[in-house]
Amino acid sequence: MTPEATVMAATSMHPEDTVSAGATLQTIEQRTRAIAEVAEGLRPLIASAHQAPALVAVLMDSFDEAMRTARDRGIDVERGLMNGAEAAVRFGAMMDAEKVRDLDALLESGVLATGTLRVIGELGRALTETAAAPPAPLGIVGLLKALGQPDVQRALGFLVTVADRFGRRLREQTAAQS
Amino acid sequence: MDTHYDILIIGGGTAGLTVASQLTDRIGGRHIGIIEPSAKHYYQPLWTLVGGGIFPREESERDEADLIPDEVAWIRDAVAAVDPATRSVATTAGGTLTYDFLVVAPGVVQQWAAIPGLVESVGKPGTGVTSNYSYETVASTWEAIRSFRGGTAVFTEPLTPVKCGGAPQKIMYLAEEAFRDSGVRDRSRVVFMNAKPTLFSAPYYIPALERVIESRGMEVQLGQELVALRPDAREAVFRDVKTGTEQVLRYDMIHVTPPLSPPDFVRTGALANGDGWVEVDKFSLQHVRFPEVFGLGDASNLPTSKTGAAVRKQAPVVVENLLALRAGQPLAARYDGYTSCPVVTGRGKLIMAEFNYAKEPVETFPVDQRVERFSMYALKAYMLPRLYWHGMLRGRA
Repeated sequence: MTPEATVMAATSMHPEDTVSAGATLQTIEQRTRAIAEVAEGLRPLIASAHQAPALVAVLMDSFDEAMRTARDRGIDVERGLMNGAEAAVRFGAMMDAEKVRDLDALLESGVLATGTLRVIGELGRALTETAAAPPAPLGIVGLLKALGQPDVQRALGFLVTVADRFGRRLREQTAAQS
Repeated sequence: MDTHYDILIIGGGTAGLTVASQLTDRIGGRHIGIIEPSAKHYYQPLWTLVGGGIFPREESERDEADLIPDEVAWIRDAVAAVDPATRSVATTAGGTLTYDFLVVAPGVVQQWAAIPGLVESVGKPGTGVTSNYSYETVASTWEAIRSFRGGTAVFTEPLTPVKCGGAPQKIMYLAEEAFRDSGVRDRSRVVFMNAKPTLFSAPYYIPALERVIESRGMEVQLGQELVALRPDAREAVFRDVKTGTEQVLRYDMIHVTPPLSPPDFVRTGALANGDGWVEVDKFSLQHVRFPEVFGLGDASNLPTSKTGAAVRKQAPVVVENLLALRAGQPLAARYDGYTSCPVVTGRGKLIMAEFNYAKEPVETFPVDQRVERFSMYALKAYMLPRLYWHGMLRGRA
């Protein structure tokens, strides 16, 4: 009997067992190495995890400071967010594909251009002021008198020009549809 | 219906439901019963914001039936008496239930009648007398604030422990801000009449709250207890807790935090301590005389602020220790007195107080929580209610 066979006999091992045990050892070794590699890869993440509270603190302080600044400027962010979200949901619920296309046309019209928005703002202001103190009914004589006022003439000039361009566009649109 | 339960829970409020959910997750709900007379459950932390006109009161209400965990028996009745010697509970409908283990979490009741003049005026239109401390009256607070045209607005806090120690002053901060928005602040006096000796129970947060009060011109009088209202004359009578001297304040609106106490079956029963609260060990939450009884929530004698956040930390301790006792093992879980009081100081502003039995800060976030923050306000107003309905009451958080 060879010395190896003697050892095997003494330990009740079969030659195939040694092959199997060797393979198991090799597998364990490979997996240990793989775990070590993963651990090594996680090291930067673990290191930065210690900094997470500080990062959260920076984010929270920055966020709350921005909210405080907005509040100091008279912007109520809480109301704005809640009302804005509700308005957006209501607006969204009213839309369908055709309305979205119409909205596209409106947005491309230049209605949001800086100058236009300013004019619309002035118109809004005039409407608000007038609504706050509604004027007395105006007859023909009053109208003729008003036509002599420079501000009324300026507004009329603006409105007549708008009417001219608006009429031309309506005519072009009708022609395109027919 | 069964009349014997392995575990019987008195109260289907925040504490009772949280314990029931956690127990059901651990051992199933078949042998658990909850005694609760009310068909509705209220998320009461929202009532400050309801009173401040930010949410409708309906947002705080859910059906109790939807919150009782699966398999747990709901005994829709009220408790008349507990007899720990025979391990039995008598109900007001005349029934008798027995138990192996009892969890006592009935909450507290408002003692409106303790203040003469309050019952007939609180929440009634045109009286200027309001309170956030009930679903029936909370909407009247915003009505009173909204229609306030200047004068004296008074906010009270009683000598008894109250739900959320900061709540009596939170509504003052929201009201004061609303008075600014409506343009009446310049002709208004805003007064906090607190029967307790300090502005807030945890000293760490007091300087921050004092700064809020001083910077906005509000007044604070400590040690002043509301003892009577004279609604016809719009007068409130306060007694100095130390000297007994009385003073009369004329009000145009008054927000009253009523004295609160445990229900009668606790106050006058065998489970109570000398002051009428359920007498449990403050760490294990086990009753000091009846080992098979545990207590938590507002009706317990725990020396900490009575809040939902406190219950969130108490419930797992009760569950852990009750199950340990049931298994014949030592009680290892301990409650450190943690509580949290989100002090709303305005719309979009909040100081997040968190502390323990020693009144030391035990803060969750890595920032200075004494600073008024929008993030903490957003947490209270929009996150915590969801966490409550879908996390805490379901045994998940």
